[in-house]
Amino acid sequence: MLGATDSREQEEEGRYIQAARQGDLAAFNWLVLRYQTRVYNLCYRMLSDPDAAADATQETFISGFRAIGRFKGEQFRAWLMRIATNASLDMLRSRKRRQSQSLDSLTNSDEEAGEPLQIADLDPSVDPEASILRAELSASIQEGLNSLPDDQRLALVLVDVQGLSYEEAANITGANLGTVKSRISRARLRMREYLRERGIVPAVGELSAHAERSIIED
Amino acid sequence: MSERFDKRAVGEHVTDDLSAYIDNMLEASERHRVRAHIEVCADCKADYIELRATQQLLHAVLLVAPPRAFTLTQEMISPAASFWQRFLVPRNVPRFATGSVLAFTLMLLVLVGNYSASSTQPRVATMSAQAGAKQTMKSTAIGSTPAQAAAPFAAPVSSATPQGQVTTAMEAYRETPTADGLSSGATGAQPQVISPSAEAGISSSLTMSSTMSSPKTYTDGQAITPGEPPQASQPPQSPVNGSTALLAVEGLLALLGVAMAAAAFVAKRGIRD
Repeated sequence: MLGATDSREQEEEGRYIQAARQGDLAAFNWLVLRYQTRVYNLCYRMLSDPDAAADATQETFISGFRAIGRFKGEQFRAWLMRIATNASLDMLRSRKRRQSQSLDSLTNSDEEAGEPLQIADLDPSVDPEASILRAELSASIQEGLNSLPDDQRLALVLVDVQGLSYEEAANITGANLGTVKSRISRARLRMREYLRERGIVPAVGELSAHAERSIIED
Repeated sequence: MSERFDKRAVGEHVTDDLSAYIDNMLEASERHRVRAHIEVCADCKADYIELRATQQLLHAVLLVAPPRAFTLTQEMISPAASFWQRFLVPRNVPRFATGSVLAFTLMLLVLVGNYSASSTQPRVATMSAQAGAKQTMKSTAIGSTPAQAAAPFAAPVSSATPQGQVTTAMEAYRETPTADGLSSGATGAQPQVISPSAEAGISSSLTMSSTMSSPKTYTDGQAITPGEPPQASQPPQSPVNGSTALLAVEGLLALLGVAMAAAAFVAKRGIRD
């Protein structure tokens, strides 16, 4: 669901990529199914709106198909995530332009969009209370992400939410490693502040020594 | 609760390095410095623990389910879809609804032009050929120009596209005599009509009138009704009723093309700026 990891999967993926480069749409759609969850999640965390995220995701794959003839010699995942990043940033920029142009900048239809379904919630055996808590946590984290500047949010989403390395994040964003480090550092400190004010991250003075240890050693 | 330690004893606070430390992105010497510091500095140790907790919360954020599959259809990647997309589609409209509405409107206009303009069979054939050629050119123009842009990739797709686009546009016009006229070759002029118009289509812009002039030369020359004055390579000046209505239709189409271009330009500036 999230993309190729081991070498056999990489090989298989490579064959689909070659076919897609020859214009084989069905082969490209195999890649779509493989990466769409990751792409959608990046777009959703950046745009905080399920409809905008769906638009950006579709845009990503359409652009991807058109550009795949030029794809060569790099990791496919990073290449695709770069397209998704640009689609999301484009949408953020045009959203800001529209907001600054509109007289009534108080309307924000994005906030009315509901929190999308978590994948774990698709499992009927999941405890409903746990899933409510998880949804609330996810919403709080999303609000925290929304409060960050775009470049910091992007860095944090790529590294902490998507689990990519600093190097891959640098590759995707076109920034150098030092810039990525600095963005992650600032973004995490701000998120820490945001979550601590809401009691989601416990203030350390309130933690037992045992709790402290379990955080550090995890 | 936390004490301020003498900086000379424990060094500078390491707040800005804690994230890199957590992610193991520090050089060995830096790593040692940070570890030594947080063992003796309560502030930085607290920061370290809270940043770790923050990172873990972010890791624990679950994947959201995509609302649908995002696999591509032929329509989504067709040059016609992208051609119209560029100008006219706002974000929340299905991409090719606008394109097909426009295609349908133009088809209706051409139909009106055909039926109102003629009573004799040869003239119908002539104008069918012209109207068909217009449609072919429009679809070829749509197919060719973006196909050129997409040329670097996927030879099978782009080479298939012009024919594919003619077919698609033709299917949209399936009801009209023009489509049949073209495929059955009602006049000998038609094969010649398509290639120069294809060339004209590639180099022309949205305005219809410029692409319409060259095929008229061919078809007018070929299919002259007895009693009509000979045609020059000009827009037809033939007997009154038919040509006036035809001119009106063509003028309308030209205006429509200009209006669409203007609207698209305005819309594009409104969204992009």
